[in-house]
Amino acid sequence: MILGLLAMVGGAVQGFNLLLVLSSTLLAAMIVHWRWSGRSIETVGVERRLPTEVFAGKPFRVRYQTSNSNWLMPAWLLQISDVVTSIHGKGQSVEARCGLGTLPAKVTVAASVDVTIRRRGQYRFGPLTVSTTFPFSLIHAKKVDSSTAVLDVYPNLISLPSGWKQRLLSHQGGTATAVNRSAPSEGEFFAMREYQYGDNPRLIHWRTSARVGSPIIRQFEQLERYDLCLVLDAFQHGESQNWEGSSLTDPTEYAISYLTTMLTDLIQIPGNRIVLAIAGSEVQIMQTGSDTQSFRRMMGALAQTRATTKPTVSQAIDDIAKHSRDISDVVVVSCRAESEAFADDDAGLKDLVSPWARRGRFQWIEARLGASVVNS
Amino acid sequence: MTSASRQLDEFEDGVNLRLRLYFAILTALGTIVLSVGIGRPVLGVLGVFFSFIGFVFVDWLMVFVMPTMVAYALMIVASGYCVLRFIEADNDWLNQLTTVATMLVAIQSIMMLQSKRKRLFEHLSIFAMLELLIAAIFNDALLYGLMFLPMAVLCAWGLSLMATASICHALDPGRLLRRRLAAENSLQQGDQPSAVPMIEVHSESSYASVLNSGHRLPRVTMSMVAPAILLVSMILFYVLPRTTASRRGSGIATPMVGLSDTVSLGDIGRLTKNPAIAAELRIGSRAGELKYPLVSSLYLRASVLDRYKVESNGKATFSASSRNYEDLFRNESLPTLGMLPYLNESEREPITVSVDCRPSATDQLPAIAPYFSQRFSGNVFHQTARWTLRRRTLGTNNRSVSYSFGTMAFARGAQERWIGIENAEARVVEDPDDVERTTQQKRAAAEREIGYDQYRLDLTRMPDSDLSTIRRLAAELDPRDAASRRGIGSSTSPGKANQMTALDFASAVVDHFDDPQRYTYSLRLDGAAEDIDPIEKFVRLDRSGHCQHFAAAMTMMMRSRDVPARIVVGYLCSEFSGVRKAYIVRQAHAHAWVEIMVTRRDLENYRARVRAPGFKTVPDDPAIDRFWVRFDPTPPAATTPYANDFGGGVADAAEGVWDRYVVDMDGKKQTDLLRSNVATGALHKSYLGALGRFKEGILNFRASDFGGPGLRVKNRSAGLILFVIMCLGLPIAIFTAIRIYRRAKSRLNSSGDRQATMPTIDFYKRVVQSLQELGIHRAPSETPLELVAEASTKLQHPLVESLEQPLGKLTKAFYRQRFGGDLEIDKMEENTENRRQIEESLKELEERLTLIRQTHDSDD
Repeated sequence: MILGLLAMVGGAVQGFNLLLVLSSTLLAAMIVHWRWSGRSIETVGVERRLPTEVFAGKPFRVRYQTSNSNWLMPAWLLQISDVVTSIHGKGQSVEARCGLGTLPAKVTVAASVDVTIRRRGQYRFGPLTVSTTFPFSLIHAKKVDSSTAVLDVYPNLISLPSGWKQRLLSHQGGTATAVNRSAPSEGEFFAMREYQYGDNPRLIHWRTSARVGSPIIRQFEQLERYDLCLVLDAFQHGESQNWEGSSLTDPTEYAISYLTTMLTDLIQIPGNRIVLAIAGSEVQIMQTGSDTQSFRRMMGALAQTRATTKPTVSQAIDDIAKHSRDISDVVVVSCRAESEAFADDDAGLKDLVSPWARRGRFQWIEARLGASVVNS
Repeated sequence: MTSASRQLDEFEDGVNLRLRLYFAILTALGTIVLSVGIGRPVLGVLGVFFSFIGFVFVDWLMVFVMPTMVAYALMIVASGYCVLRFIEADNDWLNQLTTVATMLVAIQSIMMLQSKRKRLFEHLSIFAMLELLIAAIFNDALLYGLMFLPMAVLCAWGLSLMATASICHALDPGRLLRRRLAAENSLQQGDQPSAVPMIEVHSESSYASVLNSGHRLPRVTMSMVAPAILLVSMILFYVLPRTTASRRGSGIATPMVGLSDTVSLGDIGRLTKNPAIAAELRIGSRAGELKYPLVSSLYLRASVLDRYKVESNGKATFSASSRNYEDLFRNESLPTLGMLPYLNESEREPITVSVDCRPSATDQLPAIAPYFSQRFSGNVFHQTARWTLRRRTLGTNNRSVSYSFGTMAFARGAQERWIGIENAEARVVEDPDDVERTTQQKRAAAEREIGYDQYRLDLTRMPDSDLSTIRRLAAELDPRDAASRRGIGSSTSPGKANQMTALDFASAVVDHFDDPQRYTYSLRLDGAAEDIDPIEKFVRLDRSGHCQHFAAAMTMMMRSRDVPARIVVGYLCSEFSGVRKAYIVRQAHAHAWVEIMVTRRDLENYRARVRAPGFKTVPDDPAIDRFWVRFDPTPPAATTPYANDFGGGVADAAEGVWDRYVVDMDGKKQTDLLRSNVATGALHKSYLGALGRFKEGILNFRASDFGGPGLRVKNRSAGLILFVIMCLGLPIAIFTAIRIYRRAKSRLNSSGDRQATMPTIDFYKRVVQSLQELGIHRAPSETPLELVAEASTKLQHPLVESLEQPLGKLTKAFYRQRFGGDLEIDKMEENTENRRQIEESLKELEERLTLIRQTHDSDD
């Protein structure tokens, strides 16, 4: 630009028309570049689409719905930059970049970025910048959308030891109840049999019935039903500067991931009643419902759980005893041993759990990386 | 790395290589235009060489790369050397600019040997621009315009690709992948977990999208952006106010030459080797713009040389000296037609001559005498007594100049040979009421006449050097001398001997030189000899020379016989451009001839006896008592003018348009453009006229008509040129047609029977390829599960187990990877269990497919 202006001044003053040709071309290129890229960006709109559920360590895709409102001119070489910042961490941020080669006029196209966040917590997305350097990479035209969105990244899902479900206490329902279920999704398909009076007509398999000439219904295997309270003992040894900065090698994080994996698995089976109690610096108690919101609420709480040296486990058990008396089983997931917890607790944790312990419906799972210990 | 990543890498490599190619060509072109501008071809060769080496061995084959530190060191050395040269050049700005140009080329050459990054590309483009900048100052040739266009296009392509490359660099998934793998490896080796990035992002699909568009960007730039830039740049160029006249570069590479008041013997010969255009003449009637049909060549006078001097080294110089004749030789405005009463319009044909004169090394301008002023004569002086024109603003010879004048030098299409000399005393009108004024006028006229007499005497003065052969030949040829009359031959009868005039003598001399047995025309001459006058050498020893030698010899012969004679240098032009409707005057048309001064009595006597051309309209006005009469002693066969008929003058026309509308655009033309009505403006008409002439030229070219009415020549080379163009163009046309056909066909096929794109996951790609070998093609709308069903049904065979099981397993695995949200494909493939299952299923599937293929073959 400066070169072009100098050439233009020199050409005009000295009367060198070739200098003016050069400078005119340079300035024209800059002007066209400026207007072209500016106009392209003015007519481009970007909307961020975050996923609803994200687990730490699992890649997820963030989509950017990019639309071009211009009637004629396509937009070229669009670059979309979104800043991903950890809210509770030490301000760690990464720029998520994606791009579109061409965005035709009056068209909406989704660009996407694959993101992997390795640690649970809350992350802020934004501000969002869309820019272009088309056509000559000399001018950078951009538009900034300062609106932000917060995403809860749930704890990692880990591989639990085989047979962990069997070790949990459960109620085995009768087979008669299986056939009376209202939906096939309430159990796993077992077999087919002839229709009997009283069977739910919705379970009739019409194609097979037509083939054999008589009504045939689908039979489902009855599932195990759990009615338990999962208690997270958010205990950690010593104060941590960065509560969400720890990876799975951290015992507390592993315990949280352990509980999250259990919860995720158990909550998928309809009929289970799971109460989650998080014993951190304060107590949070939540219960599963019929909608996915309760699950997300639980996961959100787990994502934001902060470990402490003095977890309120006894208070959590006390609250459960008061408010959820009918809960049949209590399972505590912790990174420490049961005895250690009992010893450290001044509020009589052992006494508090005794009503369940006496009935054999209390378990203390010491979640450790590599091997977990279950104490009943 | 997955095959998709590999494909993207290859794609990126293609874009990067193209980018490097563009900048290599840009560098080469930049150095060429600079070297042409400053007249240092070695710089161009250097630039092209290093561009080639840099692209082939550094960018393409990657044989070597100059380390950055070495490059910096070399740049410092080159810069230091050039700075020293710059200081040594003192105030010689031409040398200083040449040094700067050398530095630019040197640094550019070093950069070409470095590994290219965005910053380096930017530097290369800036250097190319600087080269154009310097070349713009030095060079005003059409070459600049021709080189500017491809350079601008290449620069645009390069920069647009650079935009792609810079975005790709930001989105580079390969870099992220490598970083992640490195982090994971370090984690496995027990390093600190902080090595793993907490947040990891990548966008391979975006990368592919941008890269794919990058390939199309040059086309988009040319089709959409370039017209906009052209329009804006034209507006800027023509609207930007100009306060000064247009100026040209110093033209080191293309010497601007001209004819000055001092010409050494041999200068004209050197000039005739230069085909550069010196001026354009448009000749028309005064009533309109019609081309005047000439039947002979044009003598355009530029300078009159009356003094002859031989230096001690044998160098002979003719010069114009007005030292003693200030009354005679003055710079005045052009005379009006009323000041030349002897020019009788009824006998002669008044015509208008418009001249567009290119920059030259001198202030002298070509003219056709006698001339008179027109309404727009331009900024020129009339040099009295010489009848030559020169620039009014001296020292502006590096600028073009346009002027026009009226002339009556033509009679029936032929240029007359005389210029009348008015007797100043005869023009004095006596005013009885103002005796004093009359007396002053008479005194002035008498002084002028005395000056003329003195000048006439000077024009008969011979140099001190030995010109014995000249004298002897003159004596032999002079018909007025009874002793020499016998030497002339029988053409002159003794009875008319006393009627012989200087004109007869001059004719005899011309005839003498026209004998090819005696003299030959040549531009290859030996150097001057110190012991003999060059003119004497010409007639005595060499008998070979060019127009300047012939004119000099004749002048001395005339002077030796007391006939006042002088040399006139100018141009002898007969090249008519049908495209531009103008006579093209080139430096190669430079010519010298002789003017002798004769009395009215001699001229009338001569006309009465000899029907020589060029004396059709001698005036009767008694005030015109003397004449300058032109004689051209150069053999006519040797003065065949240089003519550029290539392409029917289309190249000249292009150059003319370039000069007129770009190089010579000044404030006046700009004002014309801005103030004039678009529909009726003069410049608009001029543009239309130029366009029309260009079209007509093309038509002439097609009709093989390259000449004007005066010189209409059928050029047989036109057919040859057309043949060559057809030979070159036909294969290109056929090749293009085939390419278009293939493209259209492939598009047609793809729209009719389209197949789904090949999956990017390796193992499933193998599955799809294996099925394709047996004729099962997946349609774009077909899901993988539907493909399983289709393949299982179509490829079932009683002797082979169903494909459903292995195919189903593989499809499930594909679903898991493709749609399961697990993008860590490589990592997943490393999962032994998954990998084992996939491998087993693949093996199973391929075994069954092989069996099916074999059974099909045996059935056939």
